[in-house]
This record gives sequence, C-alpha cells and structure tokens, in this order.
Amino acid sequence: MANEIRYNISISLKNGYLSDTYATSGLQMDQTNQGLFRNVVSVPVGSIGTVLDQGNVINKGWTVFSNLDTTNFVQIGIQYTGPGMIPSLFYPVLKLLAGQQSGPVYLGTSSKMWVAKADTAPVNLFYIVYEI
Amino acid sequence: MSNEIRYNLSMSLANGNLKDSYSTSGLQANQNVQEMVRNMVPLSAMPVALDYGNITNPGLALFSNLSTETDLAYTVGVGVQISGNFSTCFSIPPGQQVGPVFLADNVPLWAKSYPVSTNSSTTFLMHLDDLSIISTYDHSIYDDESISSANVKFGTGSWAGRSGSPASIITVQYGMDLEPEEENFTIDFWAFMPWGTLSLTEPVPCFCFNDPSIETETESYVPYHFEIIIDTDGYPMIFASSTGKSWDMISGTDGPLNGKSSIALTPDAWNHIAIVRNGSNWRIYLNGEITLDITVPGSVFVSIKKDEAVLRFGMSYHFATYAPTGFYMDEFRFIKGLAEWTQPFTPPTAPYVVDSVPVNLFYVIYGK
Repeated sequence: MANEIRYNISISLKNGYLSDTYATSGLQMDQTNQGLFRNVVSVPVGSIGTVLDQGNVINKGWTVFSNLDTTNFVQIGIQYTGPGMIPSLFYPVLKLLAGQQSGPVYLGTSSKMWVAKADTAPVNLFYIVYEI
Repeated sequence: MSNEIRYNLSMSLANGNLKDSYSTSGLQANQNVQEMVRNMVPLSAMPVALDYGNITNPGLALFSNLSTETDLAYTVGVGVQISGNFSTCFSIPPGQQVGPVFLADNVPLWAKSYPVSTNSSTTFLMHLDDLSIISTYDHSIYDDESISSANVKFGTGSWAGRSGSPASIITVQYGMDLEPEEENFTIDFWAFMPWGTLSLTEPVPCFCFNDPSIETETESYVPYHFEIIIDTDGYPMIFASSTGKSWDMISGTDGPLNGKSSIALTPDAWNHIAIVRNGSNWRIYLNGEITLDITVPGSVFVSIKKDEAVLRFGMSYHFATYAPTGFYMDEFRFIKGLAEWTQPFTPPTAPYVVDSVPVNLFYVIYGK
C-alpha cells in the first residue's frame, strides 16, 4: 500500500498591493491500517479543554478542523498536566473564528491528546482524523 | 477590507474499500493589517522559536518540511514551550506539508527536528551543563537547583548532589524512551565520589526509573522498578524488578540476584559507569572494565502508562534516600534498543554528540 492519503494546500493573499500565493497539489502519505473518524462535538466554554474523541483511530494522522459556529470562535490545542497535583493547563495552538477551517494537520508523533475550548458560548466543531 | 485571504482544504483517503473525501474551496478570511512572512529555518534537535517577522497578530499559516529523506528521524515537530520544555503539537514528516491552519493568538511556536537514529534505538542525552534534553520524544523536567559548575567532567556543568531540604533532584517525565523493558539498552554517565571528605552512612542513589501514574491505596508510586545505586563502599549496583513488587530480577547485593560491581569507584575522581543489557546479559563497566557480568532474562517492570515514565536523578524510591552533597554526575545517556559495548572499552574523552539532522522548515504566515 502506498499513498492512500492525498491532500492539497492552497492559500493566497491580496491586500492592496500586497499579494502572495502558495499552492501545492498531489501531496501524498501512506495509511498502513485502515481507519478514520469523523465527528461533530459541542465544545463547551471552560477553563480547560474538552478532549477530542478520536474514535477507533489509534495512530493519529492527518486531521482537519471546521468551526461550524456562525458567531463564536473555538481554540484547539493540547492540554498539559504536570506531575503530582498540578492542574491541567490548556495551550491553544489553533484559533478558528466562526466558519473557519484548518488543516490538514499531521498529529503524528505527538502523544498528547488534542483538546478544544470555546470562549463565549459552546460551538460545534467538526473534525476528521485519518489513521496513519 | 474583507476577504483578503483565501484558502482551500482538500484531503482524501482511498485504502482498499475504505474511501473518504473532504474538500472545500473558496474559503475566506480577513486581513486588517498588511503583514506576512515567508521564511526558511534550519532546524536541529534543539527547539528554536519561529520568527514571525513583523507580524503582530499571526493568522493563517502553512508549514513545509523540505527534507527529502524518508527516515522518521527527519520529522519536524512544531510545538510550544511549556515551563521551558518543548512540547510537540503537530508533526511534519519528510516532504510533507501542514496547513493552512489558523494560529492561536499570542502563542509563539517553536520547532525542532528529531535526532538521527540509524536503527530502532532511541537516545536520551543530558549533558547536564543545563537542563536541556536531546531526545526523539518530548519530556517535562523539574529541577531543584541541581546543576552546578563546581566540579564538572565535561562542559560547564554537572548534576550536584544535595541531600538537604530541598534535596537535589532532577525529575524527567514522559517519553517512551524512559522504560528499559526487555530491550537491549546502554546507560552511561560519569560519577564523582568524594570519600576524602564524605563518610557515607547510606547508599548513594544515582538514578531511578519509575512511573507515578500507578497508584494503589497506600502508595502513589511503584517502589520496585529500576535503579542504579552506589553503596557506602563505592560499589555500583543495579536493582531491577519485573513485577513492581520486589527486586526479583536483580538486587544490588551479593547473592543469587547479585547486581553489584566487583570493583569500587576510584575516590575523589571522575569514574565512567556503564550499565549494558545485551539480551539476557547484564554488565556493569566501570571505567571501561567489566565489573559485573550476569545473565538475567525477563522484562523490567513496564508501567501501564509508558509515556508517563519518570527518570529521577539523585533519588531512590526504594531506599528513600538522596544523593549527598559532594557527589556529582555528568553526561548522562540512555540508549534504548542498543547494547553499545560488549567488550572492555576506553571511556569517552569528550561529551557525546547526537547528530542533529539538518532539516529545513519552510513556512508562510499571514497576519490577521
């Protein structure tokens, strides 16, 4: 098996005279074991994040996130708990405004669980995780 | 102004009969201030902060690992610094790209490449000049002012014992590379014992490996795991457990489970100590000479949560002791998966160099 996962990247900027474009297509990656997970989760407001269920996916691979809310943003990141009784701390990595999407992101060797946290009101977050 | 930024997402999967596709185009975002950066940065095993140029509010970004190699060792990790420790958030395999992603506010991103591994082994290295860790995995580290420049073997610092309050302890947590299990491994470090001025009444702990995630009603840790200790006469000893309940594999005393070196450390001098497991064979090499050679099969106790394994410098769980003032250790290395020495050898004459892979990371960030 080879190149079971394919993805493209395309972004562009045009702000007055400032313009920029970056696009690549035909990017490929192997998937050794069949597996994927699609999910919509209602992300609550809180001081710590809500762990994003990855279903039966064991080895997290490529992931996309989509904020389905029309008003509020959602932050996605990792949660850290130190030894002993140190409280969990949320470290945002991504911030999706209403309707924004991000990905694909390769979670790969990170053993940490990804979590999401809403700010002003619960938001629905759609995401896809491909096994690697 | 509106919709200055446009982007598309496309990802698909076809693995036998399992098929999936996700594609959206014409996505838009605003940019209020004309800001963008394109940059390529060479990465090594030591994390570096990604330069955002003049961008004050990072927005959309993408990242590309320019390595064309296929070894996992060339993977790039992008993450954050938590209490001085790098923590990988997402990875970029060789030749792959990540994005577009919208970055969180005021969270500087860092990146590193993973050390070269020419086989399946993992290397954990601390020069102990500071608290830097060179490893394939991320770790968290906690320290009670243990690094000293008073007596060093290599570099500018070493770990200095202190049994007072607080005791001098470095705690390293997380990382699959900190469980000896049943694999071959090599642990080596330098130790300095000042018998001229120190009268020892209890063993001197060098390191203990453990896992605090396993808790019972009476204990918050498993006291029997894997430890390296120097007895009151200066003899290095190994303690190892396969059950977490007793030293059933190796007990660092004379007897059927003998794990004690036949030669003591040279006092008031730096001594090189290597613990090497090769299959069922366990050896202690003291200054390159074989001083223990035993056959012990089995697996060192494996914690339920392997990735929360803990390595502690200067502490014994089992004996509840701490290394005394005047005891020093330097240049600690743990290779899991490799028995580096099978014959007597000349101890290293310089600090280890773990090759850093010259991976270039290219990234584009648009300001908001």
